[in-house]
Amino acid sequence: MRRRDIKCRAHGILAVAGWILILAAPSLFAASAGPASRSFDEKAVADFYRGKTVTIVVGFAPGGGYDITARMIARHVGKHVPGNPKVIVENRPGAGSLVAANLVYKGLRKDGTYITTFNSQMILQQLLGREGIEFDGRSFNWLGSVSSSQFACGVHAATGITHVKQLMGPNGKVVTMGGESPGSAITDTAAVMRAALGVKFKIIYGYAGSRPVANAVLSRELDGMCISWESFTSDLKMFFEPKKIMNMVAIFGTQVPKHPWLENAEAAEAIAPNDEARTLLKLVDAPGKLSFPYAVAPGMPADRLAALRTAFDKTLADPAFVSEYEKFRELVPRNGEEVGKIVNDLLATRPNLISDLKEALKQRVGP
Amino acid sequence: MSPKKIELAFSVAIVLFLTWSLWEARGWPLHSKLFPWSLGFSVLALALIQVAVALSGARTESKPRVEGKKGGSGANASAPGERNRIKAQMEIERADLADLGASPSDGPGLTPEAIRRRVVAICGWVLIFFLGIWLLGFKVGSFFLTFAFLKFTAKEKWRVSVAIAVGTYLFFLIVFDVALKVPLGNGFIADHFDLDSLDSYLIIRPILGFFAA
Amino acid sequence: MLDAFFSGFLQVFTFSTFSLLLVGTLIGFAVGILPGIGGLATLALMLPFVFDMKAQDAFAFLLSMLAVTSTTGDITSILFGVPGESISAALILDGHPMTKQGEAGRALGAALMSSLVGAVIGAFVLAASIPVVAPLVLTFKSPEFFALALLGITFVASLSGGSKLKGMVAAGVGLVLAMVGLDPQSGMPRYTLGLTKLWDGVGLVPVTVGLFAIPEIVDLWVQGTSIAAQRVGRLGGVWQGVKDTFIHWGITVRCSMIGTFIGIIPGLGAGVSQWVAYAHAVQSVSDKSRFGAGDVRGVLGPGAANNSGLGGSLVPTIAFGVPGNAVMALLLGAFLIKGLVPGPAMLTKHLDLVFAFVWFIVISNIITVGLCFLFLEQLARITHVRGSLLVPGILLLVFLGAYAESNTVFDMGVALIFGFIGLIMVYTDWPRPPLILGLVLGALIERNFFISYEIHRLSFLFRPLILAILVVGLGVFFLPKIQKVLARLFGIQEDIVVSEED
Repeated sequence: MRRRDIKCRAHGILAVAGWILILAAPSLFAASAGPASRSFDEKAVADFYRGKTVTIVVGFAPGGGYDITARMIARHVGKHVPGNPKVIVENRPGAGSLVAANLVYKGLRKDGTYITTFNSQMILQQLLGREGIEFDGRSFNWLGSVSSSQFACGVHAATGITHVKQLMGPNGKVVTMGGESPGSAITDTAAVMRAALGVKFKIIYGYAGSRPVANAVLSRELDGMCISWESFTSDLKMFFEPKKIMNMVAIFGTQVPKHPWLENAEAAEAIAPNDEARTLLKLVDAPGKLSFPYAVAPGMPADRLAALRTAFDKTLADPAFVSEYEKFRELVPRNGEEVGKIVNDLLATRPNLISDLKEALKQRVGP
Repeated sequence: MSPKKIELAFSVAIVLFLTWSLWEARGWPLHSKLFPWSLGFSVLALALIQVAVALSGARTESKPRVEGKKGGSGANASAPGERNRIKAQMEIERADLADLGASPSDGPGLTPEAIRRRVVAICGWVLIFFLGIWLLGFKVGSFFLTFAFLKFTAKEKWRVSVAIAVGTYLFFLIVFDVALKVPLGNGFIADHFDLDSLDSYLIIRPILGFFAA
Repeated sequence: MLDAFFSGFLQVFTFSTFSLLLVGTLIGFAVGILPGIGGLATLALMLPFVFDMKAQDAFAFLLSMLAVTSTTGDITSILFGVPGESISAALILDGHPMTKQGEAGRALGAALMSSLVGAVIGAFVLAASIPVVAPLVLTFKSPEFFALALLGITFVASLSGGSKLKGMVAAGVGLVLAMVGLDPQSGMPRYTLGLTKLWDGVGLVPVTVGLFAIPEIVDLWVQGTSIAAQRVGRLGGVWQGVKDTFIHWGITVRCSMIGTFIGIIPGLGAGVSQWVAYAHAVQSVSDKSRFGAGDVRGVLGPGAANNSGLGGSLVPTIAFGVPGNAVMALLLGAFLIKGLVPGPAMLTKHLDLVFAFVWFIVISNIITVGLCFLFLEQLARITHVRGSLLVPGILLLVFLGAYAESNTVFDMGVALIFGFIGLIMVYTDWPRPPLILGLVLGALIERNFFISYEIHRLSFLFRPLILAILVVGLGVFFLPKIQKVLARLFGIQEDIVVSEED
């Protein structure tokens, strides 16, 4: 409470000085947001946001999917927030977006003027107890997420592999799969695929990101890679057009989406040998359901949270935004409550499963 | 301290840094340790040779000072390129700190003592700018820092100091806030007390309010 | 083919395309001068505006902006010793000393003209190589990257001149600093002092800015004069600088080729090529005495190389959808937004658009250089302003450059620390470029070593291309020694000539 008092006093002094026209008074007395209801006092929220700037803190450098998505949202979200604040983007790259997530969670103002977008993979890292994580995904106020995808694995057509069965069993062929350092999605999904299905993936660690991995597959240094299906259909289109040189072998989830490139792919959970394997697959795939998630720090006033959530939903349904975004990537919007539920479910995973997952990720060599 | 002594100290500092880096890596798994160690040990060996060279340089210098300088440049066999540049750049300080005294050709003819004071002053200001920007952010900080530097250290006239200070403030305001919309942060003070950029209370809001009213 | 080349040219001159090219050029011009806001950030800022543009207009806008940032980024390096872009740092070494000697005009003229030549060469290599480059790009795999990075390290020899020992130690310290961050193999934090901000390593931009710019500020204040200590005729001859570009034609062209080649290889880029070009300029000349003290050839080399890289790096992006760096990845995003799928189809269906890219780069550079020449007089005049008036502004630019890449005060602290280290290095005759080179290449070396080892075990060292690169490397490393031996045999000793100047 003491810190809050100081803040009150600071505001008070400035107000008394008579310099100030608009003050964020409501923010100081509002209780922290409980389970959100969507009703809010439009006028109070508008009074707060009018003339203010809302900053979207992006956990990555300019130019990537997170950044471009945030800039598109910034262009449209302002008109849906009562009071029409100016919305800008600030890049705070570092530690795979961990820096931004930590910063917004505890380091910046909690009055609803800072929104962050970071890699949902961080939630999985929290589950695994990775060092450096200073937030609790359950306490973040989620506004929603923009896209959703399953992870999928493909191998270069030149390997001659067309079906995942060719990679399994005692006579299965070994293929090299690209990985960054452990903890990144492309590495961990491949590792879990290997542990759960027994596919003979030899993971080559150490690439500087998914892009260099894709380059290495293209130049045939690597045989294949696992990444979100959504990336295959956008950034990595060159594997399929104009000539199809990538054979998709497996996709996470219980069924294979209808898509010509996925004709020979198997759904990982459908061919998993047992329940443990299915759980592992589900766990590591969960963050993919929340591509480009947006969150606000815990402790922001409930009415503004409700207003932001509503604004976010409206933005993702705004035809102007939709037409822009769909040129860029596939739009699969989720609202804040849904995202919160997925995160809570993921973080409620039983400890024995967590240690299974850790074990699966720790293996450096395949079966 | 003379250049040779500083050189020695710097070489020793590098050795210490490398030793620390090797010590830090002692318990790491082989994958993580391979490069830090194979690089670290070989560079450490080179650095130790460098310390020896610097030591002999420093020793030469404890003979008469003028000799020292000549001996230094010979023993050092420094790069023609970089050395010429350094000469061009640091001529005065070198002359000063090697206690050779400033020769008439050396710039504005400051005394060695004055030069030393200027070095200390500017290093202090670099630090102050860092702290000022950290505390106040670029926009607000630029005004106060520029003004303070010009008025109190460069001893410029009030008019000039204020004009340039306002100019830098406007530069940050117009280029980053208005044109590019790239936020540069409001500084630690504003962030800590959950305030907007400090100038917004004093300048921007009253102006906007005036037009609104 | 030739048809497409000229129809590409004509595409530039439709009204909407040309006006957007102009707008892009002006934005790139302004932003290039600002330290910290690089081509990548600018492109990201402007990307939302291209949604509603035609493909051709969008790329006129984006490419002209990008082409120009690396040209105008050279200006602050030369005038203030503060690199406007991280890829302009090598221009400080000789460009800024020239300014101090009153030759700002000449240095700027040389930098701009060599930039133009570099950009044109890079662009035409793009045009010429698109059909034939496929095998080259796909031949380069991790073992080759490893060998190339090692080769890069050997340039330390020329970047440290006669002070080889110090150069090697500095490069070694740079390599060790490159180990800071998450270990690419196990993901374990190394040397991070418990700070997540260090997980991605020590930032190259803050280190460069601190190491090079802060000593210049100290020097400016201590001298107590204007940046240019003397006045040399009218501006020290912008025209002279332009002529220098053509007098030292060989260096300009070869460094352009270096920049283009390094640009083509994914993963490397102008961050490396500027130093290699500088080293090449030093190496290829017999009288090295003026390098580092204001030799115009030290401006021409990196000036040409950092511009020619753009054309080079576009090659793999267009031909395969393989972007070599973050800027190209962003551009690839723009391709997709515009419904273009990079790859062989670009070279058949959209060939005229590809050639239009070439012309966008060339024409925006010509416009920029033209604009610069108009303002060059005013620009160079700033070097005659009382130094004390400039110190605060330059200091702010330095910290801005350090801050703006990741928007963190932490990086300002890094710049501060390396500023003082740079000061000591200057004062005690330590060469600074090797440290930067070590820092850039260290991570590349380690990463690619492990990847190569995991895939090929140690046999990767015997791949023919690797052996070739390593032989070249040894040659580069020992060439000065051999030269020296030969020189001694014939009784010429450069060092003596130099020390007589003392």
